Amino acid sequence: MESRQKLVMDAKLIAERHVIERYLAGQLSEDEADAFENSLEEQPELARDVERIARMKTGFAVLQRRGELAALLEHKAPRTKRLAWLAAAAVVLAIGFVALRREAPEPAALIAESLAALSLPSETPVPLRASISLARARGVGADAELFSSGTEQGAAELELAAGPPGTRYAVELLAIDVNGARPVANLSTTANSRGVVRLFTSLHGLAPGPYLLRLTPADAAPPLEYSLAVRPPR
Amino acid sequence: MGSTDFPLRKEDLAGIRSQLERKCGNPTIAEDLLSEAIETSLVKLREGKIERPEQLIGYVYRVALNHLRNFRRRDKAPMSSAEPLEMLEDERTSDVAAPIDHARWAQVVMEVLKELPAARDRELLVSFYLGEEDKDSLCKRLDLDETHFNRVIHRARERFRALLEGHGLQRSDFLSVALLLVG
Repeated sequence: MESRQKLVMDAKLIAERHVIERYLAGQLSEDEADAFENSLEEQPELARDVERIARMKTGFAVLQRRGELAALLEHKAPRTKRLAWLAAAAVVLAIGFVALRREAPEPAALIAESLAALSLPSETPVPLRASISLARARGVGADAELFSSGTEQGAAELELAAGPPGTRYAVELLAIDVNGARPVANLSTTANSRGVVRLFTSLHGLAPGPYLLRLTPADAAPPLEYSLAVRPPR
Repeated sequence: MGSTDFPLRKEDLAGIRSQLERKCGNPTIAEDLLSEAIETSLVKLREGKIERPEQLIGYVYRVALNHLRNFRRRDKAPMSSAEPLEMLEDERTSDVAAPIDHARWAQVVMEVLKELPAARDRELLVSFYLGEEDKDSLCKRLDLDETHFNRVIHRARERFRALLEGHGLQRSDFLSVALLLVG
């Protein structure tokens, strides 16, 4: 960005080059990050901007966790009542479609791409009780511990470092017992722009015990495996 | 921790704490790191190593962000079975005010998004702030020029600021001269 001698970035440069966003996203070089940190001390008013952007990012993350972002991305200002009726009809059709697919009552999903998808249509959204970020599969012991929410509804967010952004994965959740690994849930998903696969898992639907989360890339590369230990409710 | 002659309130640091939580994966650890950042800064101040008192808040952020950066470095480090788990505990163990704050920020972001008529601009914001996709990639993918990108980001930031201040966060929260306790 600037020469190595320039240890303090000025406010104009920070604003024009979106330095705060890039810092929080881990997109600055070490020298740039050092310079930005120095700038914070020299220009304490920058802290306010950092705080505000951090809040903004958290706001986006909350909307995503609630499964509300997709609707907002597709949001259109209502132009006519007819459009509203069409939208309502679409929702009714979608609900009807889902209902028809359920030939018999079935439990809510054990893993899903969104919090909303973990809930049955008739349920209130499952509360998010934990969020886990795993950089890699360790291969020894459990990569992550989860606590069952027992009879209360609950979900955990899993952020799994996967492969290149945009890679499609077949995800399998396998329960481990003396007889080996038994698939209990599966879905397909795509790594986001950071190469991260984000999933939500039910904490009330999973019985305590060991599990294996297997991500198999569509390009036939070796699967990634993360071991999960679901503990009894605390 | 003692008092200072200028503002330093933990609630003013709620945004950076939430980022620390996301990165380190544990609200208790995030809280500890933030407390440590504040304490380190206060010690520096008392030792006269921070020239001007108004620099304290910047110094706190500097230390806190450095923790965030260290977690990012650790994410990129080679695999080691000795590394500790990165895990978020039950949200009930974190600051009880956090979910309320987070919901408020989400509401403001929702308002910002709803005010944008172009779906492409909404996608830009989501991809930039949540997906952390870089500017060049976004401009290319969404077929945007740099001027448009800058304008959308600038307006969104300003709108978020205005709405947030309308929801209670004031500029004076950071700059007012008041006697406040930390910790």
